[in-house]
Amino acid sequence: MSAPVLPEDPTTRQSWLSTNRMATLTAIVSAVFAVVLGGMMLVNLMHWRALDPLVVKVPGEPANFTAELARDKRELLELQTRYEKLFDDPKVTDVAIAAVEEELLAERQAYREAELAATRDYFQRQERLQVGAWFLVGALVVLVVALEVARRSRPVEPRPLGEQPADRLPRERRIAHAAVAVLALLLLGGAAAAGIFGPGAPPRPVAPAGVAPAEIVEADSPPAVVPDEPLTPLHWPMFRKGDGTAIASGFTAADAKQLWVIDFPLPGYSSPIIAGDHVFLTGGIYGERFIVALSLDDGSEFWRHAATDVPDSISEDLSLFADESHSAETPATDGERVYALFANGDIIACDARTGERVWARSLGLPEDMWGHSSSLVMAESLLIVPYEHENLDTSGIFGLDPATGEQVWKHEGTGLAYTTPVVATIGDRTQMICSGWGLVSLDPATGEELWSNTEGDLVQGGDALGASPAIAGDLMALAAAGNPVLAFRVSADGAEKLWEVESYDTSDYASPVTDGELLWCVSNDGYFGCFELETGTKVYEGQELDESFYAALTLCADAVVAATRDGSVFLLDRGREFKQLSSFDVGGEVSGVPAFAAGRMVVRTYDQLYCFGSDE
Amino acid sequence: MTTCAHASAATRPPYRKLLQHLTIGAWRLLLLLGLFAVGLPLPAAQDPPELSDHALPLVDNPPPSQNWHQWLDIVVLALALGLAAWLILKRRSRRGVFWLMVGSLLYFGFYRGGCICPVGSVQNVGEGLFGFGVVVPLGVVLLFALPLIAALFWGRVFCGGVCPLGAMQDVVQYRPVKVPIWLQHVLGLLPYLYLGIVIMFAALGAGYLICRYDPFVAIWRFDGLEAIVLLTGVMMLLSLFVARPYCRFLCPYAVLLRLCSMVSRKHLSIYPDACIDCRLCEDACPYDAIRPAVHEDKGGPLARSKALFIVTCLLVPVLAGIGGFAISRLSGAVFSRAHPDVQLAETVAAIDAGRIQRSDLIQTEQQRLENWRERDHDYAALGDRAQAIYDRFVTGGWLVGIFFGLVVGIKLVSLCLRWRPKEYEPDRGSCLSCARCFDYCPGASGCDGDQSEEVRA
Repeated sequence: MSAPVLPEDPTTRQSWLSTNRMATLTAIVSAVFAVVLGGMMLVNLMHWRALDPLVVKVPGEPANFTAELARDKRELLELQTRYEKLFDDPKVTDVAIAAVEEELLAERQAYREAELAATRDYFQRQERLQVGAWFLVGALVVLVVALEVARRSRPVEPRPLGEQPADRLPRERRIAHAAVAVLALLLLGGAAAAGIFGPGAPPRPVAPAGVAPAEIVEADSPPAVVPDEPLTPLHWPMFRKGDGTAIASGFTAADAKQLWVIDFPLPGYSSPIIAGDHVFLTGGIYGERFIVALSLDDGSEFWRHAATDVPDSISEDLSLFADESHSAETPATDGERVYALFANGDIIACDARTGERVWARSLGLPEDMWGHSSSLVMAESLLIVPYEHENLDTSGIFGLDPATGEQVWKHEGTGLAYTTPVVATIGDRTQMICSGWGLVSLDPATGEELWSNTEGDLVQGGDALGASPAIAGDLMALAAAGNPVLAFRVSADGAEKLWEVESYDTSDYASPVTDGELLWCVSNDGYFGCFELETGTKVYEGQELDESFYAALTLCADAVVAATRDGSVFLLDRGREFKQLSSFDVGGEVSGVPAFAAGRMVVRTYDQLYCFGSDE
Repeated sequence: MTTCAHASAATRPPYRKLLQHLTIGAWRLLLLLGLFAVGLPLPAAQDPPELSDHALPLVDNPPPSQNWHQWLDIVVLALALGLAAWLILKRRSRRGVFWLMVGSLLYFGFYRGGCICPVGSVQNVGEGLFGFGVVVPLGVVLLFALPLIAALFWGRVFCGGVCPLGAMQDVVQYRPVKVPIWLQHVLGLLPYLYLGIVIMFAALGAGYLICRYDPFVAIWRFDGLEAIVLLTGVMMLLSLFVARPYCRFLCPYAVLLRLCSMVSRKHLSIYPDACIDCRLCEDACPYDAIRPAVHEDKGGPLARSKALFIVTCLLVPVLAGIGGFAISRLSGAVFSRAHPDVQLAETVAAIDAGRIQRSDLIQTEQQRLENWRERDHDYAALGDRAQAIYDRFVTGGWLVGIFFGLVVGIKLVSLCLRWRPKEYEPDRGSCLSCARCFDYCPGASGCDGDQSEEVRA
């Protein structure tokens, strides 16, 4: 590095073309450029973050969904509805339909372009930020070089040799002494004031009224009901009602409204079940798992039972997958007792009236990276426990004596299964149809295998089926992700495939539902399809609700009920037209299937329990 | 050398005209390209495809973290420190230091993204020393220790030639203004306070402040939150006119380097041989780290300050007490809120009281809330935990405050002491070993350390 440049004559004026001036000018220009560019990039960065299509600001819509786009979508939907209604009007001519169709296509094209432009805007801003960053670096490099050149070529006025500097230190140090003392005291005083007038100790959160998870309240208090008398009727005694139909006849969408809501801070993905006026729910936190009985009338608690002290329980080894819970399995009841299975393989039976434990046992930890989720089933006076996982020694489907928990039969496991078996009487025989890697039908009374179809084209996605079948009479349909929609005619000897239709309206989680004529299914991200059950003819496909679905579909008297993880319960027309009748906002994610009884619908969210119905 | 400098100033290079045209052309090109990058309107949308034929890419598991990189960092750091010491003490080359600084900036800054750096390792080591059950990896300990060891032997060669944060500020330094001495002394206290707070945050699990508020990492990674990008812009602009503001008035690691450097075995000297009192170097140091020689003791106010000295000494424990009280109040009320468990307790309390809705929370807070509800969901335990953390922050605040009060007291005492260097020499604590002063010393100009014998001859 060269020494500073000393001018030959102090009076010499530099030319504007001097290296120092040019370098200084370059530094100024590049600095201004960097500041302007940086400012523009900052603004661009804020716009870019606000337009992230993966961030949802308004429920159901991505962040880049502008007001203009929303208007286009609304107009498109209105036009679509108008177009569809034309077919119902016999007076409308084909020419008129063609004109509206043309308009619809043009609108659809315009909407697609607008949506594409919105998404493209996001990525173009991202690309500009990246390009801008390189230019910013380039400008900074120019700035650095220019500054260095300017610094090296800057003339320095030499001081006269021999002159001694003034002893300025004492004065400066005295000022510094005073400044340090005053400002340090001011700083500390400000800190003390901020602390004294600040918020103080953090507030102690208090468990809300309702269910207190930390308190284990055994059923000491006498129940208001008479023991030894089974709860009746069995409105919704197990997962999806247990008969594969998931149809609730009493509840109508037309006049339903919210009757009550309670806090239920015991997380779990299991669904509620209902017998008599009792709603049963399971839930838990690490180390504490409960089954709770609540009143269908007002949500008040009858009893709760902690699944502790289960013989051979190995809960301390439990490691949950992020999307799992301590109780993903829905309980089951026969009115006399209620049975609950938990994520660690503990299974307990309690008196449905009093909550007193009848028996408890452990099935061992399920070995499955996704966790266990198949629910309990009551059939032929037995408690059926589908407990298939990767460890074939402990995996299997068990038939237990509901009074004692003793094993009556065991069907050796065939591998992973996430579905819950459906029980149906076909012909004169009761069959329990299990789906996993294939189809297996068992006699629920003996565990005897009636028929199986584990080969062929059932599982195409390389993973076990996640959605359970829907069944009506002797027709059974499967709509599970990675596979086409499939329908079978089931007989005493096997299942004959009727049809298959490629569709993206299938799900990893949400089971389809059928009324015997039509089959409805929904994909994980909210695309609905409807097919004729007998023929596989598409009624509609790809109708979107744009919310995320885990819960199986159910049918009430006049609607398809679809609950979402975004906190909505949609009621859709049971007809051949995709039409939303109404919806309820429940404020939290719904992963379990709603349960129905006596004109009421009970919906469980992450930490609350809602009841809807008519108040009459 | 002085003669050569005069000659170079007087001569007009023949390429100046060409240089002028090139410079103006470069501005225009830069401006146009920049506007193109940021401000052009969107191109017209193309016809969207009816059906996408986009093939979904296969998702591979990411490779395991590359441990060798950490050891490479250590080797590079050690080599850079050795090279810096050689360039500063032996070669006396500002040019060499400058290019070493650029190289470090490229490697530790742009290539490694500013992580991990010795400055940030203060937090890891602080967490290991004062935290609960935290083991600091050997590599991090070495990153932390090597610059300090180098400072014990050769002064702050890390600051001068290796630190990427320092390099960012150094390379844009244009016309540093002279910060008043009293203000330097006041602002010079901030790194001590910041050091204490940083270690307290790390030890109590409230996060790594140095990393969170690193003012330069946004440039190195081409990404950052808006507030940090803004901070970067402010710091860069400030660096044009205030020499290394972060290093001098904020960097907590500089506190440790300063202490090591004050007792260093060797340290750079402005002159290779003997000071001739030419005073050329007096304003050379942008950090005001050159102690001017004082040959005449004119007495002055300090001669009357024995009473002040005694009072200041007596004030030290009082300041420590005030500091402890003040920072402990601040720490409990404000700093403890940075801990995730305290935040969670406040969130749960606010939601249950109906002051906020779950939808008001940002994604991280929602996830934290869900995790708690899923895994723990024990209100009493959460309350106990938050209270315990609050208590720890209060205790930590006492320790940090006492430390800071002592620093303020010692600073006041030191300002009462006489200080009379007979020659121009760098202040070993403040000197960043940037080697700028070499160019100003006629005894050193045009020669390196090996040639100093010739100069003396």
